[in-house]
Amino acid sequence: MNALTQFGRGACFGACFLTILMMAGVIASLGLLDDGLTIDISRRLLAPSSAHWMGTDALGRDVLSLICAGAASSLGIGLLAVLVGAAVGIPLGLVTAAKGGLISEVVSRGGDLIFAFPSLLLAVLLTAALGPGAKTTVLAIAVFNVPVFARLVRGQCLSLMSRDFILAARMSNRSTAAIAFDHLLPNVAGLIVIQIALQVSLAIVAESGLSYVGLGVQPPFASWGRMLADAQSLVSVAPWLVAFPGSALMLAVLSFNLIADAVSGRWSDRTPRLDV
Amino acid sequence: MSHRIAVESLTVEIGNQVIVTGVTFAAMSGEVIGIVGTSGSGKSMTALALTGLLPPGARVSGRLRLDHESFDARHVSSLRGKRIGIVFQEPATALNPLMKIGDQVAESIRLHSDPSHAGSLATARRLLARVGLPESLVPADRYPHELSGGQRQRVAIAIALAASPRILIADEPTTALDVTTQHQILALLQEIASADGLTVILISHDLAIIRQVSTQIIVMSGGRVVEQGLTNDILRQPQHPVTHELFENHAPPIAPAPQATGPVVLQAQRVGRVRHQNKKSRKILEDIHFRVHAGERVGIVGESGSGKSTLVRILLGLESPDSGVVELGGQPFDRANVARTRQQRQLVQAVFQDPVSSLNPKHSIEKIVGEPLALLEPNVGAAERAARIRKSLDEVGLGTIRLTARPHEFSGGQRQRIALARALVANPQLLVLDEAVSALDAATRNEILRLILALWASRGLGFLLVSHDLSVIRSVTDRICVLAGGVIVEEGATDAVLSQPEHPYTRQLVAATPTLFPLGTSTSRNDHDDPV
Repeated sequence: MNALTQFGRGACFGACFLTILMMAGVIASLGLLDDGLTIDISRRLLAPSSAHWMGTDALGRDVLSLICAGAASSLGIGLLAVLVGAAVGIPLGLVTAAKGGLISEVVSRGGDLIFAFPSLLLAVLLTAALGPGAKTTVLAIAVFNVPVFARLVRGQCLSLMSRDFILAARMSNRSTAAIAFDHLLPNVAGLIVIQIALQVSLAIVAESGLSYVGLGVQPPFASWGRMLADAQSLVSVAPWLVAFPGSALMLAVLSFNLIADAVSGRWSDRTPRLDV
Repeated sequence: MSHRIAVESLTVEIGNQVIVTGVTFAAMSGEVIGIVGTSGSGKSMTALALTGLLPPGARVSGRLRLDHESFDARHVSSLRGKRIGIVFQEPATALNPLMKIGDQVAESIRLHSDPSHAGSLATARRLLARVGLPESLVPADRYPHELSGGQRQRVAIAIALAASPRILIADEPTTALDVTTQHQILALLQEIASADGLTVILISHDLAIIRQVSTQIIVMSGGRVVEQGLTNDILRQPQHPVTHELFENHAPPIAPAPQATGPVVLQAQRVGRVRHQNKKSRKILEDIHFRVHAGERVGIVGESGSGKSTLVRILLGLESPDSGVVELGGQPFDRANVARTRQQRQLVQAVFQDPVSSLNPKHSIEKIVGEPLALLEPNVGAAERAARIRKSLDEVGLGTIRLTARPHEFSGGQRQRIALARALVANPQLLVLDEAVSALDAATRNEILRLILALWASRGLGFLLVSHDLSVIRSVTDRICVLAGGVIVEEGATDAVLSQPEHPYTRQLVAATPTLFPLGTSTSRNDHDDPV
């Protein structure tokens, strides 16, 4: 069975597009596109042409090169932030489900507290405290991902905890940690993968949003959100400045969602069916 | 003599597979007709075909005659509700949890006959009283979660009766219920049939249930009717091998004579447990004294809500009692003392009820069966570990299975064997079987019971069988504890207790247990048909 029939066209498109974006990001971060990224007022606001496929911006930088460089920060920050959030949230969810009691309550209420907090406000506070930049952006997005994963994993694991195989494991004197990681984790792994894909797409949007308001990636590093912010006043003069980074953002988010869809489709296929 | 209902050569195909072939039967008003068969025999598909509820893509042929009218079996869905009422197995999911029971019955009445709000509600009250839920006992403004399983099934029956159908199809209506509740629901169905002149089609895997209420029996196997006739004839002289098999499997295997038992392995003293809910505290268990000796075969019987699951967990050291002590191997449980707890856990292992949920779906058979080996310290080496796992699987008759296989590759009976292999791998002295055979069909149940009896005979492995099924307890245990309302109400030698039950609850339980052959001990059937 080849990948196309197994996962469907949407997910294949998503995977291809993301691979291209990642390669572009790698190329940009290796410095191979620095030529297009240098400021050159003489070529400012050029419309798309064979020399500059996506035109140039107000400072004469090549938009395609900027998008490639922006891919590195968008995907990099999005993935890293979600992985950090998952790395903290998943163990919290597992252990609180397996252990129960006071710890479980404290962690859950802590998650509620973070959810109740306006995300932008927290990002602003973090930026004020730590100064703007990629690290702060990762941290701000990661903080909001912790309770997402903790809650998802905890909820799913609580229902698993009532299964008899957990009783059997306790009859074998397995520790809470062993039950959490050996028995619960494999059963929620598929859900976690789906959630990571969805959260990365949200994180990319969040990163763009933070950069758009100037709290994210700082110049000279490129970012799609920053490109959109810069292009705001030039929409009527140079619409390509909005169209291309906007499309890149939209397609990246769509790709992650398509992949999440395909994974969740496969996941639900595995649940036992009714026998006739 | 006019038949109320006649089904003629009903056939169901799904895909290219023939699921039901040529089912033909006739029944009169006021009659209960039973369809019996193992899972996969086509009995439920027959019911679904008669109600037009088959899955999409299924093809039906045949005819259905109702009071001289004849219908093509493809078009029976128009009769559903109005002429044919249905009751399903699971009362918990059959009702809308957010709607008052009176409104749910009234909704069906409005759909079919009386569109007025007040009128339909009054009729609903009358119907609820008809099925044994009078306004004085269970008001119509209750929600389903405030009702017991048996009461919910009564509401489901009231809904099925809302449009005054002529036929009531009940598909395993009592399988999810306790034995005494089951008895009451069956009595209600029978009473509705005879008093209101309905034809009830009762579908069950249990010949004893069918026998109890039906006048005709249809035995199905592989989608075909293999035998049909009057209940008494079939009970007296079953013809077809499938019917014989149903008979033979109905009775659990008979245990060999008891042997001398060893010292006390498990002991509970003055164990009590309280549950706090809504600032009220309720006693779940009270003053339980209980002991099991090495090599002993003990049964605990009680209905859901009797506290037996809580007791099992406390006996296994999975929960702590609020008062009293549980001693295993002569020492009380102490979570803080890890080494001792490990030794104690090695003495007793358990097999739980649900073969699906008792094996981790993501683990290999090797990992599942080998898990309790962690209890044997110092660590068991790789070679010994593999040998023990193989030996254990051998003992349960699964010596040839792939160790890398996952649980979903096995049937319910095989899964329960795997769970048994897991319980045996660390060489326990006592096996706790918590409803371990309740979810299995009769043939598989008997295989597992024979296996457990063989283990008892070969290595003196005692067991504590917790069950709501008296026939199983009766045939394999020597001593029995009857648990009701959190208290042990009767205890003693199994034969003595069950042949001369002293406590009213035990008597009720014995009387309600469906049997194929009348037990000399069974008291009159109708002395406990109180409605709620």
